[in-house]
This record gives sequence, structure tokens and C-alpha cells, in this order.
Amino acid sequence: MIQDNYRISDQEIALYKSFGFLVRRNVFTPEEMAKVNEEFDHRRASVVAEIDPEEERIFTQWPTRNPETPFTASLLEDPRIYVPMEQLLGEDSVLFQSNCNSYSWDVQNWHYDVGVTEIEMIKNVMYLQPTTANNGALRFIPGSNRNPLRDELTNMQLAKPRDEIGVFYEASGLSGEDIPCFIFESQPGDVVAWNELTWHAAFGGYKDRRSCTFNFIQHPKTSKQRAGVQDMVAGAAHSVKAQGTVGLQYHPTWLENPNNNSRRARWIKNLDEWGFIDAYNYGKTETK
Amino acid sequence: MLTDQQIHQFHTFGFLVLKNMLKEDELKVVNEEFEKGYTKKNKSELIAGARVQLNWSNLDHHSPYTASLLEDKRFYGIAQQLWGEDVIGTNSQSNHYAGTRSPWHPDVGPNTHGCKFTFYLSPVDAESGALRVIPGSHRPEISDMIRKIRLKDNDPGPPEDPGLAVNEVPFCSCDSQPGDAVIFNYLIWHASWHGSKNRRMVSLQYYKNPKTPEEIVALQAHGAAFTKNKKEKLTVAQPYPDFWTSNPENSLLRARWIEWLREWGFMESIPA
Repeated sequence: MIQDNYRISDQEIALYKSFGFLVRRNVFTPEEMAKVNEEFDHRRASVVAEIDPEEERIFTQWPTRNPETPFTASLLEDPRIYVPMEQLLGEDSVLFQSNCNSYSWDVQNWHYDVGVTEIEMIKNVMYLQPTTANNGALRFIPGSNRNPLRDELTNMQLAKPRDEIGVFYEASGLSGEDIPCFIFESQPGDVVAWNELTWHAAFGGYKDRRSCTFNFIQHPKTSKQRAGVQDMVAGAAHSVKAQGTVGLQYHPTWLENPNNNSRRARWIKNLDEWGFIDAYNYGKTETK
Repeated sequence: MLTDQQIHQFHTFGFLVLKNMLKEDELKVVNEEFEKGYTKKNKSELIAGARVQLNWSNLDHHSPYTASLLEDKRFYGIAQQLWGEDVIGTNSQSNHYAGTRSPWHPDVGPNTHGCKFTFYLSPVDAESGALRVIPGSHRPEISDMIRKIRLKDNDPGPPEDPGLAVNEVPFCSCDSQPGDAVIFNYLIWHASWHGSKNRRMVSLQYYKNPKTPEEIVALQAHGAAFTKNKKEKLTVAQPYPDFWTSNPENSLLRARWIEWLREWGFMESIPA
């Protein structure tokens, strides 16, 4: 239940901490989702025109912060997104990455998102079409953001790339769909937020399955956390290239912050200090 | 028997769904014996609040076939694979649910190990009373976190924040057909939702023979927990029936189990 002040309840916080993910229903209205889809149509058409049609891609991805999708970009600063994140990660947390994705593959094998374990990051995803177990719904293994379970799943080779078979699958005859999990069947407007170390997957996807993501990072305070941020900055250019992201993560019009939004100003200041803007926009690999 | 991968899967996630473990003719007998037990059962002995549950041991004369399943190598052999050669078969139980839900719970406290085979006698899925589990929640690091969540059925809060209902907790559904078995670690959190008011389930229960000091202390405490459960009407006090303890065929396996049950103080009350 989203409260009037957009805060999540103590029970929802406890659920997130226990499971490593949190499902939030009806966060956005059907009218809002129609607007997001409309912007998605236009932007996707222009992005597709820019890329090689022969190139095999997991997805076509572009950053949300761009002038062609003003309504979707405004959701970054919507309290329905950032208030719960500030409850979970701290009031000084920062929205560092936000993308729109149009998937091409039918399968996202089991994986978790980041190699950096020192610093907590949460990804929010909303799908723009209904999802079901056999139709691209995201799946999660509860509590798999924590060890020893996280590493046990790694050792089982649940994360083998497409067209390769991990040892557990090969020996058991099971496939990714058989792995016990929670299945996030959703309607447009639902949002799931998860710790980026939580194992997840999706099966039965289809061409142009659509999602928008809003990724938050806690403010690094310890030397280990600062080192984690440095690792992310060092890997950012590779990540942008590997994912084939089209366009700048931090568009100049967003960086201008024309309405002097104080939260955006803080985010920009931190992102610049930590080296994210240079890394994601211009491929620089060192923190400032 | 389980493959190495199934054993791995069980210990990783805390449960398995095993298809077609009972044949049609066996199911027919189990259903008939369930009906006899249900007819005989005192209907005033309802337990476990929201579940509106009646339960009784199958280790009695009305259900010899269902009782025999406890010593059937198909099941205790699997229990041995999971918990060692000296695993103990402690009960075969029938359960009738007239409530539409079972609140989230693990069956035992920390360091008590074992597993339960459950056989639902009609088809069940997520929205018709199938067992819902939280995969991996038998692990202490996850279970301890779940204990901090306020659950409406277990520990209701004030009206403005009563806690989460069964269906508000993420789950994996163990859908099953008659003859399938869901085998789960006693420590895994489980529940059910939207069950029919005539839901029937038969279970086989096995305990690991405790080895470590923590396991020994936990099993000793289990008796005390049983008394508490009895007080809270989570189970019915029931000594082991003579039909089973007399061991008329001198089963060495059963003799060993009976000795263990005596040693650990369970003969006067079947462990939950």
C-alpha cells in the first residue's frame, strides 16, 4: 500500500530486507503508463534507426534522462520512486542510472546485476506490458542477495550464458524455469525494487518486451564502499559498450537542471564527484 | 530415490516436488483410510486457528496401509539420503482443513532437522490451497529476517498496521496432483491460501538423529515446544497407538524408531 506521503511501511521494509526485493502494486496509473508507452514508441523508433539492424542484441537500451521522453524522465524525481529508496538506502542515496529497455531475447538467464558487493544498490523496474510466468515475468530467489546462498548459486553455475549449460542444469536435467523462485507477475504500473545482488531471471519473453529502470546507490561512507564506487566507475565504459546503450546516461539538458530541483542538484554533484558522469557519458575510467 | 542433484536442490532451497510417488491403486486405499479416520475423529478437536484443522495419526488400525508408508523404502529411503542412515520415522498423519488458509510458519525451531512428505488428495495450485513456500527460508540467515516481519495471523499489530496477510508474502507455489509428494525441510517457512473447506492432506514425518550439541539441545527443547503447541491448540496430544508400537511383525526398523522415540521422550506425545 503506497501511503499518501509515498513512504513504504515498516512491514514492506522488513520484506525487502528479508527477501532482497519488494513488490509494489499500482504505483503508477494506467494513464501515466499510457504516456510512458507513447514516449517509448517514439524514442524506440529513433533509436532503432541509429543502430545496425543486423547486430544481435539482448535488448535495445537508451537512458531515460533525455529530452525526447520528458514524462518518463520526470519519474526520476517522482516521490513514488525516490521516497522508498531513501527509506531503504538513506536520504543521501543517489539515482545513478535509469534506462528504457526493449528486449529482443526470450530469456534472461539467472544472474545478479553487479560484481560490487561493498555498496548497496537497488534497481526499480516497471514493465510496460502485463507479464506472467510464461510471458517474461521477472523471477527472484528470495534472500539470494546474501551469502552463503548467493555464492552457492554461483557455484551451481545457474548463471551460465545463453546456449551454454551449467553443471547443475546438465547433471539434473533441469532448466532455468525449474529453479524455485517467486514470480513477479505484473501489470503496467506495478514496480519491483530489488537489491542488485539478488538472483533474478525471466523466461518466455518476446520481441519488444518493455521495461524502465531506476537504479539507486547508497552514498559511500567507508573506504570499502568508496573502493566499490571506483570499481563501478572503472567498469562503466565497458558496461555501456556491452549493453549497447544508445545516448548519454546524463543528457546535458538534464544536467542543466533548469528548474533548480534540489534533489537533482545533489545527485548531479555526487555523480560528478564520484566520476559517474565522466565514466558513463564519456568513457573515462578513473574517479576524480 | 533422489539423484545427487535433487539432494543438492533440497538442501539449497529447502523443498522438492516429486511427481507420481503414489500409484492410483495406492491412492484409492489412502483415500478410503483417510475417510475412515475422518469419520472416527472427534470433530470438536479442531486445532490451529485459521486452518480449522483436524489431524490424527495414521499409525492406527483404521489405516494400516497409510501407516505402512512410513516404513516404505520409497520414502524413508529418501529421508535417509537427506538426513543419514539413522533417520527416524516419527509419524504418518492425516489432516483435514476447513479453513481457507494456513498462516506462514516453519514446523520447528532452529537446529531441529528433518523433513515432511505431504500428499494432497485433490489437485491444488497457488489459488486453491497448494503449499506455498519461501525457497531458501530454512536457512537461519533468511529465517531470522522473516521472523522480524509482522504477519497478521501470527502477531497482529494495531488496526492501522495489522501486518501482512498470507497472500502478501512472496512465495513459490508447490502445485500438485494426487499422488505427487511435496517434501520439505521442517525449517522452511510455508503457508497456504484459498484452500477449499474440505482440503485433505496426508503426511509422513522424519527426524534427523541429532548429532551436534546444538541439535541435541534443540530436540530436548522440542518436548517443551510440544506442550506449548498443545496449549495454543496447534496440535492434539496423542500418544502413539498400540497398533503401531506393538510392532507385530517385529520390524527391526520400527523397533529402532520406537526405542529412539522412548529415549527422547516422545512416546506419550507424537512430535508435531
